[in-house]
Order: sequence, then C-alpha cells, then structure tokens
Amino acid sequence: MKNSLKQLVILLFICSNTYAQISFKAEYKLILAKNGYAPIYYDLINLDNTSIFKFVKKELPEKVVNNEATGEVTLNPETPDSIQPLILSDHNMNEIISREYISFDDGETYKRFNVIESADVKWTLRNETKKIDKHTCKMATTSFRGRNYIAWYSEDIPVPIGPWKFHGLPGLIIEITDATKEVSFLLTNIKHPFTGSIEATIDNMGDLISAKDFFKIKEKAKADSREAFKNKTLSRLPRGATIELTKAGNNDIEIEYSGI
Amino acid sequence: MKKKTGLILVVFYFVLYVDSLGQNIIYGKVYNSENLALEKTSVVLLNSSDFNITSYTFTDKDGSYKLTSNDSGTFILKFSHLGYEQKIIPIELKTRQAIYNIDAEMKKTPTYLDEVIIHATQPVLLKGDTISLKTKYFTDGSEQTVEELLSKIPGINVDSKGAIKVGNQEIEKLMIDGDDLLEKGYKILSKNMPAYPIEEIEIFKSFSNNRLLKGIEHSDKVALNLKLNNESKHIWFGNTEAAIGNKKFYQFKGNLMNFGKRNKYYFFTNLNNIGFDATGDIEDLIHPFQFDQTAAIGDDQTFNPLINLTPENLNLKKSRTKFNNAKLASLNTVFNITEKLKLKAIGFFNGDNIGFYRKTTDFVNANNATFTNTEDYSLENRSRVGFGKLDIYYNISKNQMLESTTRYNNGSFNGGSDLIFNNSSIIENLNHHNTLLDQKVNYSNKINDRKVFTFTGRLISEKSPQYYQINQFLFQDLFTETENANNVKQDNRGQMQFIGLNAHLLERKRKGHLLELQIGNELRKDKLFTTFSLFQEKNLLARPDEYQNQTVYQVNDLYFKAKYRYRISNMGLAPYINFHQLFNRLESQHNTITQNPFFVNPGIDIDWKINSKNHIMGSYSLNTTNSTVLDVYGGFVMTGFRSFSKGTGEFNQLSASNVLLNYQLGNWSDRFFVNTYLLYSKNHDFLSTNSLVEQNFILSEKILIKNRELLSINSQVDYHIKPLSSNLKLDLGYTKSNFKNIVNNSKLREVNSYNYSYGLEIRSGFKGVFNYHFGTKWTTTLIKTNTSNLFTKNVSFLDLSFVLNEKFDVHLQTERYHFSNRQNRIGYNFLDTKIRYKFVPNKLVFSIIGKNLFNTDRFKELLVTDIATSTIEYRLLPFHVLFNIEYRF
Repeated sequence: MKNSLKQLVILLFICSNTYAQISFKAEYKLILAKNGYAPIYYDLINLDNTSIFKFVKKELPEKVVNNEATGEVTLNPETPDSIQPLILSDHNMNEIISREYISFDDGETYKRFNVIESADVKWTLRNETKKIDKHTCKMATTSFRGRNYIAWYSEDIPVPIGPWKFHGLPGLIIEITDATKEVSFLLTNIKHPFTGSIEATIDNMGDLISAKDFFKIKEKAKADSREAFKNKTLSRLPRGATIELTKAGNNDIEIEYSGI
Repeated sequence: MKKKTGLILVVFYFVLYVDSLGQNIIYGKVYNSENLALEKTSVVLLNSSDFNITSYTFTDKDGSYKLTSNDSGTFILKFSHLGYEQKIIPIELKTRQAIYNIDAEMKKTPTYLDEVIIHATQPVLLKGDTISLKTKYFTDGSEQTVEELLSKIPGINVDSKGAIKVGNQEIEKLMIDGDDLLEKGYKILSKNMPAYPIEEIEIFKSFSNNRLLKGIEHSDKVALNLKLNNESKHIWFGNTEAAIGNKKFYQFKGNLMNFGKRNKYYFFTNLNNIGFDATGDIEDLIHPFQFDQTAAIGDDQTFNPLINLTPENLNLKKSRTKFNNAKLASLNTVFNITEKLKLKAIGFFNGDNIGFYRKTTDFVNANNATFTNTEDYSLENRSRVGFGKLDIYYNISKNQMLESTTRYNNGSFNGGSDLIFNNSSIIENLNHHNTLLDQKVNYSNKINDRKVFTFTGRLISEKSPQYYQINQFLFQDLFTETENANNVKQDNRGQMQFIGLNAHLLERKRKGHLLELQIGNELRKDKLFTTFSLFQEKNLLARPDEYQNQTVYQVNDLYFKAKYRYRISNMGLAPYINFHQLFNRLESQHNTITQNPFFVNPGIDIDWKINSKNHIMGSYSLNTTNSTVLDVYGGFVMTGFRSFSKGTGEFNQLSASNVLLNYQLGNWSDRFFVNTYLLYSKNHDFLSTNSLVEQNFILSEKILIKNRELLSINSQVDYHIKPLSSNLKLDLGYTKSNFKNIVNNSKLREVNSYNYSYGLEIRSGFKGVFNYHFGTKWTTTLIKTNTSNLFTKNVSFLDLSFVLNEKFDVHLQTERYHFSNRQNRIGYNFLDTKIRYKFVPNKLVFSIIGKNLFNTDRFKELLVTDIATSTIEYRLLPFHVLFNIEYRF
C-alpha cells in the first residue's frame, strides 16, 4: 500500500463533504439474476475526476417472495451479497474504492468492508450501432471479473463514465449486459447540469483491503450463508423430506478475481 | 505563451517519434474560448466513410491529447465535451507515418440534459412468473422418484397423498419438457418416474392452460415443468424395482420412457400387495376438477353413487390398513404431429383386490335410545377400471386455437363383506358398474393483446348402476307385515346427462385490471331409479312404497356472470356477481313439479400486501346453491346394511355467507414466520337430518333447517433457533361449529362441536451424519348436545436419519398414537426402518425395508359423534421385511 496516504487524502476530500453544484447525474437500473431479476436502482454522479456510483433502492430484495395473489412461496437461494454499495472511482489515479457489505449468515447481519482496487477496463470498440430511445449507440465489449459484457454508449453524451466500475468509453454507457444476461445495467435518466447534493461517506478509511483479499472473504461468506440458508429452510419441509445444497452457483456481478 | 507551448511541442514531437515508429500520430491541445485547457475532452478519430471509431482518447489535465493510428485515408477528428459545442476537424492520414498537430478551441454552449431513457427491448426478460431451479443444488442423490426429488426442493411440498404443492397451493400439472402427460393425475408420474434425468425444474406461476389466455386471464395457478438433461432425450430409459419379503409380500414396478422433441411415450406398471397406491388418485384423471377456470364448464358435474363400501378416512396411513393386490398398467403418449397439431392419448387399466378389516363398538345414546352395537366387518373389494382419454390441440393461427377432449371410463367393482353384527352373521354384496363418456370442445380467439374470447361446449353421459344385497333381514320393526323376509336387495339405477354451452370474454384493461363476462346455459338431467325389495329366499315378498324412487330431476341453469378485478397500488380487489335463472323440474312416481327460481350470487376477493412483512388476503361471498339429485329424491334408499336415507322430495335453494381471512407475518424463509387463517361461514339454510336411530336400523331424512355456523382459526408459527441449528414449528387450531338435527322424534336439537389442536415440531439441520425430526400434536374434540362427549387424540413421531456416506444410509421412523375419552385410554407405537446401500449409485441400489417392526396387528381408535361414542379397531398389515432391488436402464 505505497499510495495509501494519497488515497486517504483523495477519499477524505470526496467523502467528508456534502456536495453542491454537481454537474452530471445519471440514474441506472440494474437487473440482476441474483435479485430475481427485480430492479435495483443506482445514481451515478460525475465530478471533475471522480465519479460516485451509489445505491438508491431495491425492489423485492427478499430472497423469498410470497406471491401477492396466492401466498405461494418463491425461493431464491442466493444471498444478496451486498447492501447499499458505494463505488468511488478516481479516474486520474485509476483507483476505485468501494464500500461493500457482506453477510456470513444468510442476511441476518452484514459486515462492512472498504475495498481498494485499480480497475482498468480494457474495451474493444465494435462497429455495430443500435438506437436506444433517441440515442444512437455504439457497441464496445469487455471482460471484467469473470463476465463478458456488451456495452452500448453514446458519443452524444461525452462523459467517459458508466455504471458499477465501468468507465473509459468515449461516451456515457447507456446499457451494459453480460453474455449470460444475469447482469444488466440500463440507463434510465440523465440530468445536466445537476445541482442537487449527494452524500458519499466512507468511514474508517484505515481499514482498506485489497480486492484480492476481499474475494477470499466473499467466498467464505457465501459458503457460510448457504449453510445457514439450508439449516433455516430444512425445518420448514414436511416430514421425511431432506435437503442438501451441493455445489453453489455463482451469479454475483463479479465472479472471479482476475489480477489487476 | 504560444512560443513556449511550441517549444514543448517540439520536444514532445521527438518523444512521440521515438516511441511510436510506424504509426500516424495525432496530438494537440484542447482549450476553451478563454484559452484555458479543457480536461476530459473526448477526442475520437472516426473513419469518414462509415463513422466507425478508429481510436479515441481523453485530454489530460493540461488539455493535451495523443492519438495513434495505423490506417490511412480520410478521417474526422471529433472533439466533445459536455457543455461545449462539438468540434469536427477533417483530417487526411497518409500511408507513411506522420505526425499531425491539431489543436482545438471549444465554444461553450448551454447544455441541458434532462431526459428519461426508455429501453424498448430489455436484455433480460423479467421472468416474473417463472422460476427455474437447477435440481443438483437441492439433491443428495438419495431421491429415487420425481416425488422424492420435488419434496427436497424448498418451497415445494409433497403431501402424504402425493399432491405436490408450491407453497400452500397444489400444482395444476406436471409437464415434461413442456408436454403435459397426465394433467391432475400427475401423481402417477411423480410417484413412478425416476428423478435422475431431471436437470431443471421450472415453476410457472400465473399459469394458463390455454396459451392464448396467458397474461390476460387472472391466474394464481402453478405448474411445474421438468426439463430433462440432454443424455436422456431421445433415448429409452426407465427402471425396474422388485421387492420380495416374508409372508408373500412383494412389489414390482417398471417404468419405460422415451421423451423426444416430437413424441413422448411413457409406459408403466405396478404390481404390489404392500398397500401401495400406485395410481395416486385416479379420480383426478377421470374427473379433473378445474375450478374457476375458463372452459371449465361441466367439471363440477359428478355423479356420486348412493352406496359406498370403501372405508372412510382413518387416522392411520392407508399403507398400514390396506390389504391389496394391485395390478396397474398404463400407456401415455404425446404426439406433436405438426407445429400446429398435437395429440395426447392416455390409457390405463387398474385391477385391485382390496381387503379391509374392522371391528366397531358403538355406544349409542340418542334421544330415548340407548344401546350398544358391535360390528365385526371384513371386506373384500374387487375393482377393475379401464380408462382412456384423447386430447387434440389444434393451433389454427397465432390467435386462434381449437381443443377437443374425449374421455371414457369403465369401472366395475364387486364388493362383498362378512359381517358379524351383534352376534348374527351377515353377508353383504355390492356390484357396482360405472360408465362415463365425456366430450368437450373449446375454441379460443385472442382478439387483441388485451382481449380473449372463448366458446366451450360439453357433453357428459354417466351411468352408475348398483346392486346391493344383504342375506339377512334386520328390519322386522320397520316392516311389520313381512316378518317372513330373510334377505333384502337394493337396486340403484343412476344416470346423468349434461349439456353445457359457455361463452366467455376476458379483457385485460390498462393498469392491469381484468374484466370477465360469461354467458351460458347448462342442462343436467339425472335419473335415479331405485328399488328396495324384501325376499324370503328367492321369493319377492314386498316392495314397500316409501322405499322406491322413480326420480327424474332436470335443472336448466341460464346464467350471466360478471367479475372485475382491479389493483390499487398494493391492494387487489375483485368484486363479482352471478345471475342465475333456473328451470327445475322434478318427476317422481307420484307427481311432477316445476320451479323457476332466480337468484344472484355476489362476492368479493381482497388481497392487500401492506409491506414486505405483512400480507392479508380475504374473501366474502353470499352464495345460493340449488339442490342436487341426492337432495331431492323422495323415497328411502338403503345405503348400508342398516341405514336408509332419503332427500326432501322437493326443490331447495340453500344460501350461505362465507368469510375467509389469511394473515401472513414475515416470509416463508425468514427466521420468524407466522401464517394465520380464519374461516367463518354461516348457512342461512342447510339440509340436516331427521333420523330414527334404533339398534337394527337408522332411517334418516333430509330436512331444511335455518342457521348453521362454522368458525375455524388456524395459526402456524415457524422459528429457526440458530444455536441449535433447528427449527421450531408451532401449530394451533380452533374450530367451533354448530348445527341442528332431529333424532328419534326429539325437538330440533342443537349440536355444538368444539375442536382444539396444538402441535409442536422440531427439526434439525445439522451438517453431519445425523439428523432428527420430532413432532407431537394434540387434538381435543368436544361434542355437546344435551349430553357432552369429549375425546382427545395425540399423534407423535420421531424420525432419525443417519447418512453414513454417499452409499449407505439408515432411516428410522417411529410413530405414537394415543387416544383417550372419559372411559378409555389407548396407545400404539410403530417403528419402520429403511436401510439402503447404493451399490452403483443411480444404477443399482439394494435396500431392506422393515415395516411395522413391533408387529402391531390391531389398531383401536376412539371417535365421538352427536349420537355415539365409538371404538373402532382395524387390522393392520403385519410386520414384514422387504428386500428391494432397484435397477435403472
């Protein structure tokens, strides 16, 4: 952590203030298999060299959903791994700091982590275009943390940012979807100039851990949570029935830690 | 300033020259009209012919940029920055490498972006009403059949009769790769089909049987689709299972399947004498009941025979009390003949010999009658059922569909029992035959995305003659003039014909509201000709007048139904109103009467999801029903060896109010979940009985009485105790009901019945070898007339399982039943065990199954009714051990 002091300074600058006069705001809808394809909403705010990607709200966050009409039960055996994530990208330093919450007990309690990483997204520009609403978008592809994405960006909105940790295209990302369709971010709203304020605070800056370490912790949390889920559901089953969760699938946004 | 910049650029030029040999280099600086450097300006090099991006970059802090390109030709250099006008500079790149210095001055422009972006096509379909589950996540390989597999999927329950439920709701059908083989008779499939070819389970919520109704019809139905893995497609697969044990107990099962994309075949057979019900419930297949469904006309038209010798529901599972010898064979096929035409055929034959043994002692204390009856009852029932069904689906076009269903059922049942009644020996015989032919045609037309019209016609014809005979004459007190009689016969010729037509319009309004309108006419004609004869040997002595029926009952129901389902944020409301104009006609041997009543049935359903933790559902209805043939016949019919009953001999419409409330706190897999039901119903009029109870006979006659009430409350609490890795379940129930009847010329007497139940279950979720499941439930019933009878039942179980490794597991199941009333206390224990060794997992499995290890051969339980307290003793299948081999091919 040779740069930790610098990071600390940058982050304090970003975090300890409540901003007025923010120039650009985009709202994204995330449609995630893990969340039962129910939408999750985020705000993306662009500052001079920094963008803030912040959770706004989530629909149907429950992993078990009772059908409104019938009372029948739907199960999503995945634990939401992160609640209210906050991603701060410093485009000059090429550094991303995110605040993550993960659960080791199937969502009963959550533990906070501040993760630092240098996330360079390597884009391949393609010639395909498509029209989304009134924007003519161009295609770009990338691989990021175990998923292959197709992004559609618009040169008409020349800001090199996008949802999650995606950035660096010659225009705003209007839509980005992974090949398995388990993850897709859709731009729903843009505002410029944006004069509202946003609060983005990361406390305990000293606790920064690397993305590599965080992935290991997350693996453990996942395994623990599945076991907790199994124990909890087992008892609800009728007499004689048993349940065994074998190998877990992974439909997180980030599946594997790949260097960088 | 400019000079200095120029110098820096020259230096920069050389640096660039060195590190990018062979490429065209474009560099420069971007500034605004105040000559200030513009950071983060996007600089894009576009091919001028197709505007494809050759390369791009962003300016850095001092506004400078550098682009490289290997291409040559005419290009456009595009500078963009939010809040500035876009600047476009054409540039010609030569074939040899060169360096171009292009600066840009950007002009400020007021930019306002405030827009909502609509994504016309979303990359992911919101699969709101489909859930797919990969089976491998939920299974441990110990599950053999689809039923066992499904019971391991959280959220899916399989009850003791084999009904599959998602949450609290029974599934509509079980499909294989989208083809439905057995409709509601899916238990045949789920009980027999092996689990291993199934890769994925899809749960369809809001399921519509008719594809044109999907998304328009309001559906709370659930269906399951089992997706096969690729290895099992297009190949024959199946399994056989053979078990042999002591005392000649055996079972043989065979399944043979071929599931291709076009055609599917499924053949299965089951032969057993261990009390196993291989057909699940055949009734479901013969009379599929699809309540409140489009084109469901006629599904509620059943014909119930007057005499039934099959034993009533017992506290014990049937496999303990049923002595059987079942032989079942079934062939099921689906042919997708063309894209548009699908054919489905089902046929089965089931033969069974069922034995049942019961000893009853009734202590009867009715008005002015106190006596004790004992019955020692031994039943042999031979049944042969053949059933065939052909469905044709023809997709006329994208928006039109034609369906036809033809069913044929032929069953014959020969029952005989040896009965010792109060020390006298009686033999009863019942021959019963049933023939059913049923034809339905349905046409659907999707007028547009929001509107569907269906037209349905149905014709049903069912005949069900019964010949019942008793070799004794117990009724001297009833028929004083024929005291020489020594045997009696009851012949019932029942038949039913139904013709129905229905037109149904469904319109999905904007905002999701749904309007349904129906108009239809249903005509049902019943014939009930019964003859009761007294014989001396073979000589007919008498046919008492009051004991004969020549009833022809015809009901024509012309109806109009309207329902509007609307949704306001998190609340759904569905008021409805049904208008019925009836034309009733009743012919008997004495007279013919007609009646043309008109009535209106209103009601409302409410569904309110207050928030993610609180959910209320409720319904209210005021319902008038018309009498059925079994309510209107005017002469007595013998329905058992000492019981006679008759209807009212006149028309009746019965009205009732019903309220149902369901409250859920939390969600199913929360640590804490409470589900509470409340049901209240009031029958403003109801049919009760006026009975004459004597030692040798019961005569009961239907009478119309006012006001009957039922209140039932049930609550289930689930709590997961983390430190114990166990779950605690509490089950509390209370039911109170009252009705009025007349016994032995009493005044109208009120019968109040109270039922309390409380249960507790605890089940472990340990990681290791061992797991337990313990439960106990008490039920107390109190029946109050002028006297009161109290009865308590307790059922407990303890199941232990040891999964030693992947190949070897042992399961022990113990059960304890305890009954008590004011005089008696009785308790029984049972132990069953299963030891399994998977020689080749999923291929060859050996198991030893031990049933009734304590060898309890008789089981006595207590019962209370408003006229008697009874002890009933059953004979049980004795202790037996089966050695079972299962082989899959």
